Amino acid sequence: MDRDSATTDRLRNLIAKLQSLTASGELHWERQAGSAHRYARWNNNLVILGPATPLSEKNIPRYLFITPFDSPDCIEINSDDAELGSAVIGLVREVETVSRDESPTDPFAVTEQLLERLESTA
Amino acid sequence: MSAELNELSEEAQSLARVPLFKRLEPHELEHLAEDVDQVDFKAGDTIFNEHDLGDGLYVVETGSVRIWVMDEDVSAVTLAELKPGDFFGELAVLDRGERSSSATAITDTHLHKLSSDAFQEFLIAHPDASVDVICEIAARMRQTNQLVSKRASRNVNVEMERQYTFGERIADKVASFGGSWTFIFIYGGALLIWIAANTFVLAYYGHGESGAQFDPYPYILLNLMLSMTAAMQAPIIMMSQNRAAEKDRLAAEQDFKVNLKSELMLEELIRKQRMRDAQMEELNRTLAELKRGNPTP
Repeated sequence: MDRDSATTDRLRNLIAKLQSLTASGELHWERQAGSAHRYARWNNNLVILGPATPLSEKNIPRYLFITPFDSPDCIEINSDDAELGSAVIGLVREVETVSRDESPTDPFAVTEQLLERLESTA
Repeated sequence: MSAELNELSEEAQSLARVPLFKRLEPHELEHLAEDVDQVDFKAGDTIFNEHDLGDGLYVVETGSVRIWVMDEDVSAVTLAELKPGDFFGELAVLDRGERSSSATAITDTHLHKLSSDAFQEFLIAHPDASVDVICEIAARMRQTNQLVSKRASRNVNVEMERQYTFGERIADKVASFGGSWTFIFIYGGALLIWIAANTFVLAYYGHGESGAQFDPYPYILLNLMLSMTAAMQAPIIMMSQNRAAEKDRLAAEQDFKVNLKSELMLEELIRKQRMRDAQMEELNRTLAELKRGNPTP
């Protein structure tokens, strides 16, 4: 889809805002276990950085995906985008730095909380 | 003109601020104001539902309105968010049919409501305004078309189809044909004909002047052709497999996005539901205490 320069500027500002919120710790990113996905909830929007392939595979483009929870609309910007690609890569690096020590989200992990809940209902 | 506007009634003045009515003369605004109802909605209130009978056109004076429809997956799709000066509900008024979408107030909203008859009279009397309405409808149709291509649950097959190059399409066709019973029967038939021809026909009639046969047993030329076919087929099939792997990767990414969104939305809904339950419990307790304090006869 064609994009005018004003929209490109707004998207660039949006990515810069996400990056600054990430750097300041106001935007909390979660790590997906066994995957390079990172996601965050931001003002009733879901923000995803992907794909699942590790960052070390330089030939696979990264993407930034933003979708509101109350609407099926979405925005996807790829790192191979001529105008916004570098901004996306900048955000990916920032998120990677910030979430490096974050414990990964693993839906299959056996947690103390889940065990207690199951035992109490048994 | 502004002095004349100041002399108008409050309703006519607020209509004058609406772009749709900007071409009207002051006396026309005053006349229109008589046909317009003023309606207020709280945030979250439904203004009308899809399939309701269209009884009027609305113009946003203050606040904001969400126009939405239920799609085939029974999820709400927002078509537009309207701000002051925008109008909606025109389709059902024009064709006197059902509402094609639902409208909900996002914030506390004040609207002007023009009945179907009054709106049609207004359009007949003001062709310029009719053109404005047509332009607005066209812009919304364009926006709706764009929305369809932006749905989160995109069809990966369609997305991939768009990215295919000519060579990749050929590779897929060859791989598809090479992996079919048709290919096996045709190829098997061709081999049998070749062998039969060289064993029974050319063995008697295919000798050259020097006595050499075309491709005698053990069919060296046939073997060469088979090897060449296999050598060509292998990379083509690998190309096709690479495309299939890429398609799987895209499908997995797409699934991840949709699943994650659904999961987090459900989490949020459950959290809100628990909050509502707690509030209900609190209200019930308060009600029970009130009943105990003031027993009803």
